[in-house]
Amino acid sequence: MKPRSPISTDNSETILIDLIIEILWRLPVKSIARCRCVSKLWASTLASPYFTELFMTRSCARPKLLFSFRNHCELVFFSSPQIRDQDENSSLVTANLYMKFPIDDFSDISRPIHGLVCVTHLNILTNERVTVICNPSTGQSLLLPKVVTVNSLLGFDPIDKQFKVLSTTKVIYREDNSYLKHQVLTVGTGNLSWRMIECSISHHYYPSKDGICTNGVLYYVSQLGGPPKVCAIVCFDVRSENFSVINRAEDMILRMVSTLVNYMGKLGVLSNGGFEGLTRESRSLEFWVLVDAEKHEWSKHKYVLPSSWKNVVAEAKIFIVGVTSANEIVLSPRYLSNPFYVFYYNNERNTIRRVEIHGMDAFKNCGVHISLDHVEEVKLL
Amino acid sequence: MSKSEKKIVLKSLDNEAFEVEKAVALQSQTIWVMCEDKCVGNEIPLENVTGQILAKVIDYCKKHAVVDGDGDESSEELKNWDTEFTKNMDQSTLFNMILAANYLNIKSLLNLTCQAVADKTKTIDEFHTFLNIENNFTPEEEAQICQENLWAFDD
Repeated sequence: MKPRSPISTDNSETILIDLIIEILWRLPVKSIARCRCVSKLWASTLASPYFTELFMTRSCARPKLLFSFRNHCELVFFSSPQIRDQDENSSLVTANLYMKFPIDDFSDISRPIHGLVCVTHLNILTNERVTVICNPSTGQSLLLPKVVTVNSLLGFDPIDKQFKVLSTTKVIYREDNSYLKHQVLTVGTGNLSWRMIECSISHHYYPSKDGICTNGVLYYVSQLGGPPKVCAIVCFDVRSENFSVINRAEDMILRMVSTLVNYMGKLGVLSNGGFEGLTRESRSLEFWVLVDAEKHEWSKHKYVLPSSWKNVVAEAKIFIVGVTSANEIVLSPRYLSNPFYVFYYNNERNTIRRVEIHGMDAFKNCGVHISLDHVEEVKLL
Repeated sequence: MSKSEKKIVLKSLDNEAFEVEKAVALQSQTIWVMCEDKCVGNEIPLENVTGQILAKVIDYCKKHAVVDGDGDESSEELKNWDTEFTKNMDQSTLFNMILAANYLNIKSLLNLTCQAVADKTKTIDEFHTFLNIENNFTPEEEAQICQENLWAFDD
């Protein structure tokens, strides 16, 4: 049956576009991209801030796991639902391919923030590093102007809704002396250019590769002072572009490879069992939460793992991925396997469960990077 | 309240009359406002809804009124009922249900029907036919926008 012609009357058009938005924001992100090709009105509607924010709100209610790994000359992104404890019958979920992205030999991927990731890759032939902002959900990518960088971290300022990239460069002067140069680029301003910023922290060495951005602050581990050098947490306020330092607690183990997590909007640090990871023999987890950044005050939590841990973990060697918005600690192996499991530890109930992730069987043995609470951003870069 | 006050008559665009419990009809915010204003008698004319569609809207409201009232049915059963309700509707009926849910201001029905369309409509052609939208891109513009979104067409 042919539908009636609802668009034929002019006054119904405004109502109609509202209804169309009602339908479109329920679509998967791939269909959104297809719908941009439907008509001019749709293309502009789907690009409007009203729509992109509506879509983001919906996406925030259904956070996903984002898997990224290298396979030959491609950076591959998959996503799967992030299973909550109360979801029954969920010991198996399917991961779907988001996009593939050509890369050079070596690359670092930032944790996704607000749906975007920052990929820095090194072309070993030219020895140049290229930084790309990439939206795994829509496949869009944005090549940033060249900058000499050792590390680029992506931050998001929720007040001005702006993404910024913090790039760090080591400048060597005289023989053994060096200092770090910091540059910032604001994404989405039309004028993509790097700005030099001041950093008042002295003796500030390389930032860790893995930073975390929460509530407009980018946190990363860095070595300060020295000799001897000590690890501390550097905070970069994305909006004001100011740096500050949080000292670790006295008996806290903080390494360059420590996992920083977002624990209910606060910064948390989880010790990862070193390079070996956690195994069936592990007995407890140590967790630090930042109570007061200005006073450098931390609270320490020790979770004794449940007796079922041994059987659930079995032969796996697992590492801490982070803490979900539903307050569960997620752990996973570093390499894809068949079958591949992700582990959820609920410290309130003291339960551990594993969820099998289907769909990435073809990429066995690829080193995988998992990110939690991934949301889909449909706004164009 | 006498028995007659508990009932209300809804009259469709094509003059079909439906007598329903007031509690059923009041799920529509539009009807609720009309009743509050006392600008209508016991018979409410609904100028934008055909009898065929109104009958389905009433089915939905009846089902949801009962459940909200005594809580006999679990939310799971209600969800299944909702799925069955939209499952076999053709695109045209679904579209008219959306228009009716919007006009009558029944938020849950609007959610249900919009979700059903979102689940059923996959290709651009389906969107063109279903929502009767004219593709007003020039061939060059179309080629460019499709190129930009090429990744979305790879399956």
